[in-house]
This record gives sequence, structure tokens and C-alpha cells, in this order.
Amino acid sequence: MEIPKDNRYLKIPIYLLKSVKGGLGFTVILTFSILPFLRSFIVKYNPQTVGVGLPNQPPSYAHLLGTTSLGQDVFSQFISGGLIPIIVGILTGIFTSFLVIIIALPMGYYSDKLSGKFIALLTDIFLVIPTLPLIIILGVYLGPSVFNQVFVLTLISWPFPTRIVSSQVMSLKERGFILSAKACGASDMKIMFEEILPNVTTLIISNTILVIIFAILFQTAISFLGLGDPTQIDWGNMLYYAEQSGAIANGEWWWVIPPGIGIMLLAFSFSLLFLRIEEIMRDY
Amino acid sequence: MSSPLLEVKNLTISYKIKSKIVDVVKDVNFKLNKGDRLAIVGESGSGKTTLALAILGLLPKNAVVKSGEILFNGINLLKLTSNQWRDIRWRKIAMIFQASMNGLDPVMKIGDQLIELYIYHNKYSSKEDVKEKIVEIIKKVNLSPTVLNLYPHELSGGMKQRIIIASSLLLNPDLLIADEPTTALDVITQSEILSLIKRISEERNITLMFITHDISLASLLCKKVLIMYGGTNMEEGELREVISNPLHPYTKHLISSLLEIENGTLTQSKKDLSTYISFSGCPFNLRCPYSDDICKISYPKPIMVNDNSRIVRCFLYKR
Amino acid sequence: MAFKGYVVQRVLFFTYSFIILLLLNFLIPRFMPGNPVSRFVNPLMSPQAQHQILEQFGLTKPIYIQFILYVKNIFTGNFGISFLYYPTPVIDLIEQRLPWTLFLTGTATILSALIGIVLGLIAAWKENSKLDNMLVFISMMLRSIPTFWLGLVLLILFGVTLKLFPTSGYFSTSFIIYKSNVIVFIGNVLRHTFLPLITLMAYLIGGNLLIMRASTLSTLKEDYVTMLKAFGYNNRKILYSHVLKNASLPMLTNIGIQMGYIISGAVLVEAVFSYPGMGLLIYQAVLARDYPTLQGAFFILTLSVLIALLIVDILYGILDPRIRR
Repeated sequence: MEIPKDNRYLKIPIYLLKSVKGGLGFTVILTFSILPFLRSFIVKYNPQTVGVGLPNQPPSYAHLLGTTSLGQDVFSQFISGGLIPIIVGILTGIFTSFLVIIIALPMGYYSDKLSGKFIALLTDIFLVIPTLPLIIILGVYLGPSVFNQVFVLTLISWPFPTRIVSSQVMSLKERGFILSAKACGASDMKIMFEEILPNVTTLIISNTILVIIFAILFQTAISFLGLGDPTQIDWGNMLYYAEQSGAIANGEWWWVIPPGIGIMLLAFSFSLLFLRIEEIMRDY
Repeated sequence: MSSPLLEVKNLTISYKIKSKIVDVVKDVNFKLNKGDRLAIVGESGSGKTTLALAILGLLPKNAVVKSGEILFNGINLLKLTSNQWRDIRWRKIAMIFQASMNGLDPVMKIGDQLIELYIYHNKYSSKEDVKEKIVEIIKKVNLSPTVLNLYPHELSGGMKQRIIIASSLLLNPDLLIADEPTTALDVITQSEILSLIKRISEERNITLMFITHDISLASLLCKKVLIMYGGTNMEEGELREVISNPLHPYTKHLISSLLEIENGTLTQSKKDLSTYISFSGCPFNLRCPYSDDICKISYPKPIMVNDNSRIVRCFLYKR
Repeated sequence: MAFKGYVVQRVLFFTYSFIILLLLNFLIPRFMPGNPVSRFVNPLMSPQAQHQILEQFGLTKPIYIQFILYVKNIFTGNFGISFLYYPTPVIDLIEQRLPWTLFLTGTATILSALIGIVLGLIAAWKENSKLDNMLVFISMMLRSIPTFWLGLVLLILFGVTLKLFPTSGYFSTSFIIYKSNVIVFIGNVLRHTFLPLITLMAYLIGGNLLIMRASTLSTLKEDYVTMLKAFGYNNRKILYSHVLKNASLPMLTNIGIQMGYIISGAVLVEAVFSYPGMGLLIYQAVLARDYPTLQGAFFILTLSVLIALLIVDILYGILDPRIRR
């Protein structure tokens, strides 16, 4: 028997973008994603080129955000610096949601059986391991690279949303439509993926956004600690070099403030998206 | 004739749900005299709980009272300030909510909650006084005082309901509203709770408003009945008379279904069983076997019939 | 009786987590890319020291012997010798630094919990009011600010430019020389701790407020709240005598879960402010690739989190009567 598919999910992007919150958030994110590619049209300096100006200079007409201790142009670094956090953030979000789906569904569905309880135990254990120290250790051993960052961040991020989704699964599996599916003889896999999954999709989406925000903040933190990719410039890196070269003691605010503002705007924009999705879930 | 204890006049309440506005209570009228025991009977969705909540000013934020008055001893309850409510709530009017509700704070002992309640309204009583009163009231509902040291989750549904009843009597209110107090309880506990309520309201001469969907339960407790459908009062009168001689088509339908169940002759109704409440004209017109053109367009007004012993809201009847 | 079962359950969780921690800490240095021996011994050490380490950790021996030695070392507090601070044993470094980190994180946790609970409660009660919207907005901002960056900014602003607060350490070393009394010492510690503390608290307050707000909103929908209104209680009584306790219970669980993240924040904050705790230790160890210190610090920090979590869980069991009885 065919049950008509719910077209609600297709409408979500439209509702998302039409609103003030969603539109604003999306625009900012898009801007920081595309701007790095348009950099050469905006600023004539390459972010990495050393000595394009005198070192440690405050903002001027030639260098809108001044220069670093190596004479690099801060403004061009600022424009390009958001790309890696965004990429790492989104990739982490995607991989984490895969993990969440394959772990949370059985964890919730088999919650009263040993297998479910075991998965729950593992999840809780990974939940309490201090994140940054673990990232640092793994980062030190694995070496800096964007891929390693995504890997390590995914490892850190999956427990929290998994718990949330699995408790939703647990309450769903007692509902009528599941019991009738079982009575029809549907296999567990079929029930999990065809009946339960569509009902937790919005929860997964909203939690994925939270993961992305978290991954962005953590990625910049890792970069700041010097575990980022030294061949690229990202906002975290900028702050690492700033710290290492004593920009703090010298009060070089033009170097220190912009990257943080960028990170804030990015994280805040994703938060706006998150709020908008929650509104959509509630009202429609 | 003395003035009624409670008088509801032309009350209309609507809810705003996801940008739609729905009238849940429409043009409701009735009077309650001191010492009366009135049953308000209606199916789910008939607006009876909303009516009860409105009396105590406990409507949710998305509810709007479009028109009407609720007069308690002449005071319009819809216009009270929060300070004024403090004197009325629980002291003059108390309410027993549906049995499925968890009406007690889960992290506080029963005894402590009752003590808190009493002291809030009787600031200067001594500790012994308070404890005495509480133990007395607990015994009145046939519970052992040991219950006072327990937490709500340690009690059964029936016990919790008795605690709520005990709490409602603590301040000796004039009016007691019982909204489906026994739904979700087993039959034995149900009859115990109902006879408890009956005994107490008789002993203390408390005016009772008993809300239920089950007219046979109502007949155990009350003398008068008000039948509600689609948010409005359809028929009102002495309960026995209404059952033996229903005037409104909905009441007839209700009573006959009951009889059919009793006699074992329940058959499928020939009409469409949809429970749609009509939004134009009389709310019952879609299900009514007597409906006419006027029923689809005009909203009937309540009329007194049979030497003013009954009130009916139906175009079938003239004054 | 249910309480005992609950405590046993939490202690078991602690035990399982401890075992996994033990395993992780054993396996990571030995199975990550690179030579495992270099994780414990570095060429700058004297030959006797190198030999001693190799013996103590059994690095040339088969894996199961290594594991036995490893467990023995853990329980005797032997984490090897630091590369960076050679020849100091790692455990000594940890002993010096741990109390300061516990002080910082403990204070931050408790203060931000209190502030978050009170503000979250009020925000939820006045849902959709100007105050609520402002509080939510501020919380979202606080949750978007990268902790380490906030530290840098505050440092520049108050430490360097305005010279209001000191820029490093947890007390001025000059005080040791002058042997001043306890009160002045405490005052000094507080001055040094202030900036790191508020940096750490910023992110936490944002999160706590939002969670408490959500918890309060759902508590307000409960039947007993309507009942309390029917009792004639005024709003303040309902909020503070009843809703507060019920809504803050889930918060307690949340604080437990947050602890992993709080430590992360502490690492960043200590790095920025040169606050000599475990976080700074880890930071310096990373830069210097001081593996023994990294491993030891990670282990102790995680163990602290597990213990704190156990305490919080048991506290929850005491406070929530539904578990106690």
C-alpha cells in the first residue's frame, strides 16, 4: 500500500530563505564562502605574500586593515580567512549526520535490548571525554591538514546529537504507526529507515546546524593553537601568528579583532538559520 | 429569589491556533444558584473545559474572550486584577482538574504542598493548627496521614485525585468545579471518588459544577444538567426530566445511544457519522435528523419552554 | 532503594569510562603514525634516563607486558619525564598546575550556572517580551564568540591598553618575596583570575541561559503550574518556589555534559592569559611536542571530568525525589 509522501521537506529551503533570519544568515554565509574566490578583484594583495607593506602597521588607505608582523595585508587575509572554517564546518556537519543516523536509529530502536544499551553506553562515554585535549592529542599525532581536522571534529561531535535523536527515536517507536508497521511484518531495518527516519529528519537537520557552529568554533581554536594547516591562511591561523609575534602586547587590534568578528558573524549566521528552522518546525 | 452564585452571560471565547481563529465557546448562558449541583455534559471538543478554565481566569495565552460576562456574586470575573484573584481563587472557587493531569509539584512532599497552600491563605495560623487541619482533611477523603510524607510519584492516580479533592476543600470554597475528575481512573475508584464528592458537597453545602462527557455519571451526582455541543449550551433542565424527555435533537441522539448500549441494540446510524461541528448556523445541523434550511444559516437562541422548567436552543421550539 | 541502584549504575558508568580512558591513553601513543618510542624518550635525555624510561614502560617488550607496566605506572602516578621541562617528572608538573585549573573551571561552572539559571528563568517567564528577546539575542552572541579570541580582546583592552588587570600568571611573584598575608594574596589571585574567568564564563552563560529558558518553558506547560495558579499563588511564588527547582534539574544534567567542553575552554583561556594551569601546560606541550606531558595531562584531566561527572550525577539523584525513592 502506497502512503503518499510528505512534500513538506521540499518546502523547507523556501521557508528558510524567505524569512528575515534565514535570509540574513544565508547571505552572510554565502558571502564569506564566495568572497575568497573574488579576492583578487577586491584587493590587489595576496594574503600570504610577505612584505607588501611595512610590518605591524595600523590601517591605512593602502592596507585597509593594516599589516601583520611579516608585512602581509590583513584585509586580504580577512577576506579569504573564512573559507576553511566554512568548509571544515560543513563537512563535519555532513559526516556527523551520517554517523548520527546510523548510530542513533538502532540506539533508540533497540533501547531496551543489550545492543541498544551498549551503544548508549559508548555514546555517553565519548560524550564526556574532554574535547579539546583529545583533538590536540590526535592533531599532534596525525598532523595538520583540513582532512584531519574534519576527521577529528566529527569524532568529537557525534555523541551529542546522537543522544538527542535517539531519545526522539525511543519515543517514536512506541507510537501507533510503528506498531502497525510491525504488525504488517515489516523488518526492523525497513521500519527504522522508512518510518522513523523521515520523522526525525528535521531534528537531525537542526542538530547538524548546531554541529556546524560548534565545528567552526573548534576549528578556529585548533588553528589558533597552531595545529591548523600552515600552508593556508584562515582566521584561526591569523590569531595564532598574531599571538606568536606579540601583537597582543603591542596592542595591534587591527590584526586581532577582524578574524574574531568574522568567526562571530559566521557562527551567528548559522545560529539564525537554526532559529529559523526551529520556527518552521513549530509553525508548519 | 436570591441572586445566583454564578451567572454566565453570552460568553464567547476563541483560540488562536497557528494564525487561525476558532470559536471554542460560543454564546454560553446559564445560572448556578447556591446549593445547586449542576452537571455540564458534552463530548470532547464541546468547550466544557474551556468554560471551566475561564471561570477561574486560567485560560492559556492564545485564548481571547470575545464577549460576555462571568458573574460570581455579582462580580465580573473576566475583569479581575491579579490581586483580586488572590481572594477568589481556591478560597471562593476551587477546581478539580482531570484525573490524568499531574496537578502536584513532583519534587515536593504532599504534606509540604498542603501546608504551603494553607499558610498562603491563612498567614497567621500556628503550626499545630495547620497540621491539625491538614490531617483532618486527609482523613475526610479516606486517606491515611502517612501519605503526607510521600512524594506525588509514590501515589496511585486515585490517591492523587483524593489529595486534590482534599486540597480543594481546605479553604472551604463556595463553588467547586470538578472537570472530568474520574476519567482515566478504574471503575471502582471512579465510584469511590464520585460518592466522596457527593457526600462532601452535601455535608458542606458546596455548590457543585460537575463537568463530564458521561451523562450517567452525572445522574449519580447532580440534579440539574446543561448539555453542551459545539461550544454552546443546547439544553438545560432537571436531569431526570432531560433524560426521560429529551427535547433537543442532540440530547435525543445522546440518550438514545445510551439506551441502545444498555439494551444491546446499538446499530449503525443511518446518517453520516462525521463529527463535524458546523461553523455556520446551528453547530449541530450537519448531524441533525430534523435540520431545515434555517438551521444551516441562522444561529438559534436559547428559549424557555415547558413552564420555564427547560431551556432549549433549537429552531424546533417556540416560546 | 531505587537510589542505591542509581548510584551503582553511575559508579559502573564511571568504571567503564575509566577503562576506556585507560585503553585510549595506552593505544593512542602506540598506534598513531610515528615511532612509539619517540613518544616517551627524546634524544636530549641522558642515556641513563632513557634506559630507565624504556624499562619502566617496557617499550621494547611485547604489547601485553607494556600494558601491565602501563597500568602499574598509572596507579603509581608515573607518567614519565617531561621533554619540555626535563628533568621534571610529568606528575610533578600536574600536581602544581591542577589545583589552579580546578579553581578556574569550578568557579566558572558554578557562577555561570547560577547566572544562567536565574536569567533563563526570567526570560522564559517573560517569553517574547523585550527583555526575553534581548536575553536570547545576547545569549546567541555569547555562543558565537570564539573563547580564545574574546580572551585576546579582553587582554588587549584591559590588560595592555588600560592596564587594569595583570596579563599573566595567577599571582604576582613579587608577593612571594614580600610574604604578605592571606587576604592580600587572595585579592591578588582574584585580580589575576578575573579576566580568564569572565572569558570562560561568557560562552557558558549563553548556553546555560538558553537551556534553562527552554527547560522553564516546558515546565510552565506542566499541569501543576496551572494548578498553582488556581491555588491563587502570585507569579513570584510560583516561579521561585516551584518552577525554579523543577526546571533546574535538567540543567544539572546538562552541566555534567558540559564539563568536557569547559575543559576545552580552560585550555584556550589559560593559553591566552598564561594562567599556569593544566591548560597552559597542554598548550606548551603541544608546541614543544612534549608527548609524555600531553599524555599525562590528558589522562588526569579526563579523570577529573569523570569524577566531577560522578559527583554531579549523584547530586542529581539526591535532589530529584523521583530517583531518591
